[in-house]
Amino acid sequence: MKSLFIGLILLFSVSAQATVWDSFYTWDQQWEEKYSDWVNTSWHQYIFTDADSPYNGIPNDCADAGYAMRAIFAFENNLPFAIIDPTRNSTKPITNQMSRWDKLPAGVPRLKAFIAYLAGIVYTGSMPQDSVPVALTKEALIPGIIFVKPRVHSYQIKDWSPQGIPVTINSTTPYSVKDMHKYISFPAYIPEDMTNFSDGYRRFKRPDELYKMTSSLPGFSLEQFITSEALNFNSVDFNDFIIGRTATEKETVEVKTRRLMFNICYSSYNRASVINESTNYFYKIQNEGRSCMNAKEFDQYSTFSRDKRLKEYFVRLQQYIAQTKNFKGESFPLKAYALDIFVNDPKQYQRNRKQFLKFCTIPYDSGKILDVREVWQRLRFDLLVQNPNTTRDWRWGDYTAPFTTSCPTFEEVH
Amino acid sequence: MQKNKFRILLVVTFAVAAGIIISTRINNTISTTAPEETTPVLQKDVPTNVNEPVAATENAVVEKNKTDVIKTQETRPSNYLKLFPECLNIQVDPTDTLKSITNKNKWMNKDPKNLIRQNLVYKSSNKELRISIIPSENSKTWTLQSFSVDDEGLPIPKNKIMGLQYHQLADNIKTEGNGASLISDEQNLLVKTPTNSGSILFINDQPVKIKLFNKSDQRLLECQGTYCLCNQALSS
Repeated sequence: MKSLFIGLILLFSVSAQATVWDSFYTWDQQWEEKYSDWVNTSWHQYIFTDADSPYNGIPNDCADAGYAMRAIFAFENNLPFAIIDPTRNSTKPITNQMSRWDKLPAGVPRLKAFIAYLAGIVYTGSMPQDSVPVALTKEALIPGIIFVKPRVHSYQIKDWSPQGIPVTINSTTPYSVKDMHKYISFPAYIPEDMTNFSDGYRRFKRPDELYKMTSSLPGFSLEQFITSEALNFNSVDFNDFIIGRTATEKETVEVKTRRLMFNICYSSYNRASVINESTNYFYKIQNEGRSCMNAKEFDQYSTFSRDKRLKEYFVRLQQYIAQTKNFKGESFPLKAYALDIFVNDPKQYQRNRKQFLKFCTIPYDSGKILDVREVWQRLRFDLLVQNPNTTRDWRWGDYTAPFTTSCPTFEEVH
Repeated sequence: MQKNKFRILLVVTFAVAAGIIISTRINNTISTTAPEETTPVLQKDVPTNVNEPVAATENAVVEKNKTDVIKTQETRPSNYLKLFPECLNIQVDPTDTLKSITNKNKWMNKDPKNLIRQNLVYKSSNKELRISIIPSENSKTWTLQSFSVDDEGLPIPKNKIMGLQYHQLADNIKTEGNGASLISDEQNLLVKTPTNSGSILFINDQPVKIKLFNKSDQRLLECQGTYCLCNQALSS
C-alpha cells in the first residue's frame, strides 16, 4: 500500500520534470491555418504591455517579437516550438522541451523565461534559417508570416487589407517591455538579397522541417526576389505588384494618401519617443561619469535603420504624388497637406503651420514641436542625427552645422 | 473492502498516469534528422607545429592553433557530380569532391569579407564553449558572443561584445576561449560572381551545406548531407 503510494508520487514527479510546456499535438496544415487566424485576431501591439495580457512584462526587440509570436501560439495550443540552434551546426534544436526552467512554476512563468532566453540567442540574422521564403500570392501572404531584413529589422504580418496592404506589427530597440508598432503599410524594405535569398516574406518552418533543405519545403519560392530584381528594386512598384496579386478592392487615391501620411506621422512620432529615451539615457551615463555610450548602448539607442525607414515613408508618398501627377483630377481634404509636405518654401510653412499641426504634431523637445514638413526638410538635408551620444536638439536637426563627436561610432546589429 | 477499493483506485490512477507520460513522450518526439543526412565526424589530427598562430588574413577571422587541427569527414552527396553541371553549368571531374569543387572555383573560396556568421566550438575539461562572430550589415563591425553549453547540449549566453573592429577579433576570441581546445570551426560565407551567387557553410574547411543560384538560368542548387536538389526559381 505504502509502496504503491510512493510509486505514484515518484511517477508524477517524473512527469512534472520537464518542459517549458507540453506539446501533445503536431503541426499540420490545419494548425497552420489556426495559427494564421490567431495572429489575425489575437496578436496585437499591446500583447506585452496590456495589464490583462498574460504576457505582460515580456521585454522585446524586433526579432524576439517574431519568435515570441510563434512560441506563444504553440504554448497556448500544446504544439511544439523548435528553432535551429544558431550557435552550432547540429541537429539538436532549441525547443519547448528544454528543462532549464523546471524550478519555475509551469505555464506562463516558464514561457516568459524561455522567451527571454530566446532573446539572448536569436536575432534577425537567425530568422532565415528558421523560415521559408514564400510566393507573392494571396494563399502565401497570410497573417502569421514574417518579413525579414537580416541584421536590420523584421515585421510580423497580422492581416492583409482588402486593398492588398499588409497590417504589420513590429518591435524595435531598445530591448525592453514596450508597446509594439502597428502599421497599415508595407514594410519599409523589399526583398533585395539576390545572393542568399535570406530576406523578404517568409513562413516559419515546422519542427520536422528544420533540418531539411529549405528549397525542398512546401511553399518555397524565389518569386519575390526575381520580381523585385525585375522591378529594379523599386519599392513602390514592388508593393504595387503585391497589391495587384492580393487586393480584392481598389484603394482610392484618398485612402492611399491617408495611409501613407499616417505612416509618416506615426513614424515621426515614434522617433520622438525613442529619442526621448535615448537622451534620458545619455544624461544618465553622463551623471555616472561616462561621456560615451558603449557598443551595446549605441546599438540600442541609435536610429540609423529607423531614420532610413522614416525617409522611405516620405519617399513613397513623394513617388505616389509623382505617379498620380499631383493627384490630378482628385479632390479630397488631405490633398493639399500631402502636396505641401514636399514644397520647399519655409515662408509658406509659417502661413499654414497651424493647420498642418492639426494633422500631425511632433513634440520633440521641451516646448518645441515640428510638423511633418519640417521633419522631411531635416531628413532630406541629413540634419537629423542618428548618433545617440548627444541631445534632443541635435538628434532632431536643430543645427545646420555638421554633428561631430569624439565618441566611437558603431554599426547596428539587430 | 474500503481498503481494496482504495488500492484499485491507486493502481488505476498509476496506470493512467503512466499512459499519459508515455503518450506525451511519443508526441513530443521531434524529427531532428533530415532524410539521408550525416553529421560531420570530427577527429583530432596529430600535432605538427605547436602554438603557431595563423594570421587572421590567412584563414578568415579565426586565429587557429595548429595543435587543434581538426579533420572533418567529407560528405559526398549522391548526385552532386550530375547536378553541378546540369543545374549551374559548373564543370566537374569524376574525381571531384565538394571540397575540390570549392577549391577550384575561386569565387567559392572563403573570404572573411563575406562572412555571414562564424561559430567556434571549444572543449575544456569536457565542457563545451561556443563563440559566435557576427558581422554588422555592412561588415564594418563585428559582434562576438560566447556561450557555455548545458547538459542538454544547448547554449547558455555568456558575454556579448559588440562593435569590434576586425583587428580586435583575434584577441577577443583568445580571451573568451580561455585556453580551451578548438574542436570545430564553422563558417557560413556568401559567395558571388556575376553569374552565380549563394552561400556555403564550411565546417573545418569542409563544405557541408551549399546553396548556389545561377542567375541566367534562374536555377538554385542546394546540397546538404548526402544529396543535392536543383530548383527552377519560377517553375509555376
